[in-house]
Amino acid sequence: MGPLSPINDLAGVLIQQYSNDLEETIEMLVQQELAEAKEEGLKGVQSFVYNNSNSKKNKYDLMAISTETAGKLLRGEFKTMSKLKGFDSEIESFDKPISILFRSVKNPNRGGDFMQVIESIFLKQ
Amino acid sequence: MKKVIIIYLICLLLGSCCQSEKKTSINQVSTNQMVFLNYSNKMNTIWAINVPFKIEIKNETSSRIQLVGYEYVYGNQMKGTFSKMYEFINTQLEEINLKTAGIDPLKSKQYIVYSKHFVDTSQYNNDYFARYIKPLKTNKSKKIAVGSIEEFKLHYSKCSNSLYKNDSLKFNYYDTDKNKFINLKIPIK
Repeated sequence: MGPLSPINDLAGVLIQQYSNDLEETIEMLVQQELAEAKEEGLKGVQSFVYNNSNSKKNKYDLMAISTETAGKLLRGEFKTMSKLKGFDSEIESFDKPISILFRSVKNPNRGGDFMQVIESIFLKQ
Repeated sequence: MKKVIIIYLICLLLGSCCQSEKKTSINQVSTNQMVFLNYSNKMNTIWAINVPFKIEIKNETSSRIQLVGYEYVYGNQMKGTFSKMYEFINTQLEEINLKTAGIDPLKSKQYIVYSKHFVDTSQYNNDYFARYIKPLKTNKSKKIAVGSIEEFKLHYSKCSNSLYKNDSLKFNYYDTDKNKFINLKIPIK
């Protein structure tokens, strides 16, 4: 790079700083959008999930479950999302009136593990 | 001098944008795994069908990708329930463990995803699947293999034709180097 290399380093630092700021702003906007979507109910959240499937830190998703599974979930009988899904798929019913909004996020306390955080529970009317 | 720096910065920015990036890809491949019928004592009928789909995921990036979630998306929410994903371990199918499921750089992996499609019991009742009702009633697991997907299509074409119309498969990976989620989705063929 020759004589311009210090400028290169400086540019790198500036761009890094700028992109970090930008990321934070985007994350804040996503949070705000989510809060607004929740007020609109299940329909609003559905379109939020559809539009925000590429958020960098959090991956939002919706899933429909049966009332039986929801009851067990509230009693704290599932430790992981896969256990919940496994239980729900065995229930012999065609009806899934309850929707769960959850996000996948890297668990800061456990290395590279991922955890699912339930954001809201919606009832179909 | 100021102009030179600005032009230089713009060049840097443009340069970083134009890098071509290799991506992760998924393909559906044909499989001869079994299709299963599920019987419900409560409803007294066959209520769900498990259909296998073989998927090959190629990681063409330079970082390890970690599987975070997968979903078989039904064209209509009323069409089915949660799918299960399996991988081959010593030629045996084993349900995937999301904690360890990942693909190293430049490697590919094959998986089997089993959907669980609801059966339209008003159209396809016990008479339609008459051949399997008796063994299912005595079978403890309430589940019976009915051959590969090709065989199923051959015998039950009416039911299988519309079975996975508009369905798709969704995978959610995490790029461990770039620290971001990768979403992959393919339509089912």
